[in-house]
Amino acid sequence: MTTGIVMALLGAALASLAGIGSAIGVGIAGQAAAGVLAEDPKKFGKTLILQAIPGTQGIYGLLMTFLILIRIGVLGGNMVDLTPEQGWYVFASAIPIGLIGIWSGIAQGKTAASGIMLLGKRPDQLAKGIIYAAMVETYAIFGLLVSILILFNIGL
Amino acid sequence: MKKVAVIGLDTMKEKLISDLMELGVVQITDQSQRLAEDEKWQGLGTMDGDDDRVASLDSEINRVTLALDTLARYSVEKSPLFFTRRAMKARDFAETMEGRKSIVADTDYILGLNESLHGLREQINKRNTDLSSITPWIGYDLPLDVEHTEFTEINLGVVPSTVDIGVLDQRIQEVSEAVALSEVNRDKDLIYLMVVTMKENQDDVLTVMKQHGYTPTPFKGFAGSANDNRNRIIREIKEKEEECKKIEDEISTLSRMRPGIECLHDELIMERDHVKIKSNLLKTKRTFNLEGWVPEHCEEAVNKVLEASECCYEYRDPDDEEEVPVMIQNNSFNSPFEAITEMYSLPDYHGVDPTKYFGIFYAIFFGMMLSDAGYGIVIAVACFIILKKFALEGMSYKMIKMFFYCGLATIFWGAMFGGWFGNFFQTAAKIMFNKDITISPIWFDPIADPTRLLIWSLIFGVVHLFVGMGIKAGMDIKRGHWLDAVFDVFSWYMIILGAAMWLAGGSISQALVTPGKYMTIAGALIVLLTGGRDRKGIGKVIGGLSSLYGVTGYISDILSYARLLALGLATGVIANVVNTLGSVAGGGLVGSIVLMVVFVVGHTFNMAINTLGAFVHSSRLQYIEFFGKFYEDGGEEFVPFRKNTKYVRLTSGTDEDK
Repeated sequence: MTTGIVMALLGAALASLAGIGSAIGVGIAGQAAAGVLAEDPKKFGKTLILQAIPGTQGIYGLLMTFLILIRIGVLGGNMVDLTPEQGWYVFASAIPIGLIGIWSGIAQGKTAASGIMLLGKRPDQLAKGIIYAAMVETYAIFGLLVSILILFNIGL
Repeated sequence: MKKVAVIGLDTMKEKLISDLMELGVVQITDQSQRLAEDEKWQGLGTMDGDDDRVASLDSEINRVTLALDTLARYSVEKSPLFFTRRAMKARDFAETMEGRKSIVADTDYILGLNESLHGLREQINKRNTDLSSITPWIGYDLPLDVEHTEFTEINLGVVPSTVDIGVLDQRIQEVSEAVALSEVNRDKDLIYLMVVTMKENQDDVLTVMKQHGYTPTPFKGFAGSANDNRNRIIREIKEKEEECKKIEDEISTLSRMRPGIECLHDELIMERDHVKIKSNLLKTKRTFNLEGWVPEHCEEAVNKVLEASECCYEYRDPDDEEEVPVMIQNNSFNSPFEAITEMYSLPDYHGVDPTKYFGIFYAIFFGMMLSDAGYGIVIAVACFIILKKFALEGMSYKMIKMFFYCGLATIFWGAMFGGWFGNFFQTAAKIMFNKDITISPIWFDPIADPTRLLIWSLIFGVVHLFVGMGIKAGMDIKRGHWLDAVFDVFSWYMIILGAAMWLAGGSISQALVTPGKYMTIAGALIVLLTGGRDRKGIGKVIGGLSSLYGVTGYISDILSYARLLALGLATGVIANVVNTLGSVAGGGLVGSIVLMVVFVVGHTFNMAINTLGAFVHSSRLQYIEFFGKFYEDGGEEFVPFRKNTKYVRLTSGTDEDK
């Protein structure tokens, strides 16, 4: 059925939209990092760690996209014949990580940027800056979790 | 920790300070406050210390540091990946220090070179400024030092590029008939002009010019044409740069001086600390008084030193309100994880050091989140090599060793879940040899059945949380509040275990469901009835309800462990995707090469990002979920008075090197 597979593919694409959040988040953190680096170039490695943290939403989105593609057989196998309902199920499974990824990525980027500022003034407090940023990530992880639970329990 | 108070004779002071520095286990505390607050003390003694001497030693240290920086900047030797202190026998160090004069001379020589480098750089800068100011005048071919003739004045200057030269020319013609204006050059901002006037109307012409924004640009001290000058300056810059290069080269050949200067640096540091610590002491005419913190297991060694200096001393336990420094000590497996504790904050003196409880969890969680045996091998081997090759100390040693353990845990979980660089070996066998092989996971494949891993993640989470709550209960009981342990911890054990049996136990055995239900209710009742026990009146009811509302906190804590699944899956799936991408070119030689390239690039990226993730989230699970249950932090680090050397690690004369 074409409708089914189309909806499923739309879902796969939707999941990868989490990358929007990561792109913006990493960008925000990068701006802050460059500012701190202007003062002390030796902090490059540490700022890079913080800058990379908002990148995970994009990875989760990518992960979900691939899980869907594998599940419906577009990647590495024969395409599964999906009914329109099944297609919609798959589409629904992509929504949590796709949407939560966008906003949590942006929010995490801002938190990471603050962490980088913190690093600029108090380098010994790096760990706490990282933890603040990681607090935001929890919700992206929950989004991914819901997405995965839906995808794996719709009986494909 | 105990506080020792020492009184001794002035003549023994220097020896005692040296001995204590050698021993390195006493944190000598500052007593100035006592002198300021207590009148009895004021009458007895005064502050010891010699600030001038400290300052002069400090400035010497700065000079030596500058010399070392200079050496490092122009050194051609590759600096090692990790900075480690050189092990050196005390005897050898003393021997090196016998040649102190020549080392100081070396230092001065390097500083001299550094200074002449600075001088040369300054000259180059000045010439560069000259160069940029003279370049626009190249078209002007009169000698720059000719400023006037017998009857005329030659003026060089600029006007903004917005000025219309034609109009300007007319205006000055109105003032004087004998005047010549010519444009030498023009660029985006300025027009470069030569104005020749008669001596007598020079001022009038210039007044008009200035109204149009004219600024004179005199070339004082230049002889010859602009072009000649430009060539000369360029030549000079080149010469100076060559001189710089020569000096830099010379500095780079001086690396042999570095070990000596490093010793000098550390010697000065020790001398400085020796003098500086005296400002924490009190003195009378013939005696001195010293107080400090001593860890209990070091008491004997300290006693020996104190007796050798014929001091009178007394130990006491710390007061309740005193801020006692904290030293954490763990066995060799757990001590690397102190790095994680230290990054958060040290425990309060009266609190519990959590390191020994979470070390194993940290490694397990890290392993589950990275969960690829291939990556684990890379990390473990890399850390092992670093540990063997570099004599790391302190934080970096702990970190690397911790990652070594985490790497081992990752290998374990990778094997359990069947991830060896994802499914690389299966893919490679298919591409290169066209064979199908299977590597089956020892336990199960989370990509095929994520729900199962989710449940296990939450179970591990509950165990982790229960340990944390257990420590809280232990602390309560130790402090005599055993009822708190029952009300606040055991009740929650009942609720969580009971709820798990009630809601999920049915899938194991139906017999678990009903007891689970009653356990949950009993636990909830305890919380409801005792949650408000510290409050009065209606607060008791509200307190109980709000305590029971804490169930949301426990739910979110437990769910937080779902990240073990999410991050583990992320590693596994991305690793497989990398392998799939690598196999797009098909079989044969080309396909194999493509696979290898994609393998290296893709897995490096995946490993880097997921190792960061595993590190961050394993830390988070400790900091937020685990520490949140019991941890009392905020201790001050124990900083003993010791040889605080930077480059040299002194070993006692007879010891073999580690």
